[in-house]
Amino acid sequence: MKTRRSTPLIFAFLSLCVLVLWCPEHQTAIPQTMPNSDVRGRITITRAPEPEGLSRAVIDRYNLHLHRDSATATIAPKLPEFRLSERAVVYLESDLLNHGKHSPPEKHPVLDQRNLQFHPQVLPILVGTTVDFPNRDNLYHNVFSYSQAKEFDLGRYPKDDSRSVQFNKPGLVRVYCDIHAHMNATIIVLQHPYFATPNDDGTYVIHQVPEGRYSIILWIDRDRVERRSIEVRAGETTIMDFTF
Amino acid sequence: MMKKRCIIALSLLCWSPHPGTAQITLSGQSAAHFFESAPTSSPRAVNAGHPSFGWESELFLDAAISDNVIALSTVRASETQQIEFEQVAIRLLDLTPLHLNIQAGKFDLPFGNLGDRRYPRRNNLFSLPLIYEYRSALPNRTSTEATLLSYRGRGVGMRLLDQGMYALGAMVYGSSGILDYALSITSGTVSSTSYQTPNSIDGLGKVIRLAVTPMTGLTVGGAYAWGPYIVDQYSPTSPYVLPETYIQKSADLDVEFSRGHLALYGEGVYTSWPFPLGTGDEEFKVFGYYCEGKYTILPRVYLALRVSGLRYGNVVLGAIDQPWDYNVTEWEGGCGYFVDRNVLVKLVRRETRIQGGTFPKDNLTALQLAVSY
Repeated sequence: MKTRRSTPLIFAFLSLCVLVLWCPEHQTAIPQTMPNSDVRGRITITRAPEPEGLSRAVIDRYNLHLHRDSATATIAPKLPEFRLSERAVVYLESDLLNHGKHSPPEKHPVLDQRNLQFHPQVLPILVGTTVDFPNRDNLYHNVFSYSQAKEFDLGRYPKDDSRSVQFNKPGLVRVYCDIHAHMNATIIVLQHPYFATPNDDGTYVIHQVPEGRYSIILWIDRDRVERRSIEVRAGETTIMDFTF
Repeated sequence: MMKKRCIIALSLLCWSPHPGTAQITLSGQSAAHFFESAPTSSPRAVNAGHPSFGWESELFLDAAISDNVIALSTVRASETQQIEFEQVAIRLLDLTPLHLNIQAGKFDLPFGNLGDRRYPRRNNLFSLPLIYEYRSALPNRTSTEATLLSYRGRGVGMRLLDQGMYALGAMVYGSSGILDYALSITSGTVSSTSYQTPNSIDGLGKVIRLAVTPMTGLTVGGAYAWGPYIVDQYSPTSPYVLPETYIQKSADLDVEFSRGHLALYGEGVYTSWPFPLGTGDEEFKVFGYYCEGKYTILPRVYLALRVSGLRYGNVVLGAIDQPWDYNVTEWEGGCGYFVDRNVLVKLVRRETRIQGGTFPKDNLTALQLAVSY
């Protein structure tokens, strides 16, 4: 009796599976990764933007008695050399890419607090990734964010100590230090792994991109600075250069 | 000699090791609040207990003239105060291999650890600790016994520390290892600063401060200040009183500790003022303290609590050996919510107990919106 009752249910389940597997929409929703479908390019910077908070002299009026290196603590560190690897990101954008399932990396990306700055200033990650926030300075920082994608407050911890945060929601996370108001960074939480941090010479590669049409975004510091359309064909390397 | 000193001071102010274009920064803090105190006439009551609104604003105009020279200015205004320059200071940094820094102009004295908690966006609560805000019965002008007796509990005299303690003068400061040091010479003292009465005190006040930071998050500081505090030579009790001979002496011990989501601050100040009375000089002493804690319970949300007090010593007033003012204890607690990283809303309750006088109890409830920009 049991077998007779369950037979139609099993049949219906199998039919549903076949339908789902053969559905053409589903096939496009989870693109197959093809080898050698890289997106490559070079970012040429003609005018280096100043990082927010450092374009002005940041003067801490009330730290005379609190920090060891009084001179550097009174005026924020000088403008660091513009390094694309710390301040630029290239990533793809398309609804198609958001439906795939990707595992976050086992090795945690790091957002350093060093020389009264965050390093890097922009960090792209896959949703579900855990980011480490080590303090490399000989004083306290208090890393926090009130962004909708992730709210957290890590409190104060000393040099060489670290805290970790997992980012489970896609979106922008603006990160600040409660003690040093000029310190800021941006974490871009993406639903797919099709992003790249350029080398300092501006070259970048986004590996194993599925065939399709996408927007490609160049992000520098706190803002998206350029968006273009791009078509990726299976087995072909797509070149996309930016000049900013 | 004086001319030589002036030339040296002017040379220091004009000297710039790396001339260049100044980077100018304009920033500030503003606060708007609604508050209501108990309907009394105590020194802590506001507007006789009527529900009231208030505001205050500080504009910071800073200029980095070169790597080693910066200029700071603070313009402050509130609903009870006209616009005024609270601070105008020039800092010369990293002058010698010893990394000495010099500050000249009008600046906050290196005494205590109030720091930027004097501004609403950084103040965890609404008021300042009693030692910075509460006025005692002792004025910084000569007076009579009868007047001093009538002043008790009325809050018309000097504060133990004169709010932000802004004074005219010069300061040398720096760091060596875990040690920070500062030495200032100013017109006025910590209780009677030149903020209120510029250059009206004969003689200079001096402050020495040392602080150690044995580990990140813990700073223990101590300061000693001394100098004349009486502002004029008018004396109803004796025509021969020389104000410059009455030297205020103040000692401070302060601690700041923070770790994780907890921040603790504490300060104790002992002060003595020799004061000319008709019957002879009397030593007016007071000990003041505060302990403050803040704990962030959630991102955006914190709780804060402060207890502060003033304990007055005995003097002979009206032929009776008695405290020269009524002791005060105050509790202030509240919570804060960050609407944005630069926008803070605070709800605070303050309870004040004055041990004597007409108004032994007072309280205040305040809702404040503070922003920094």
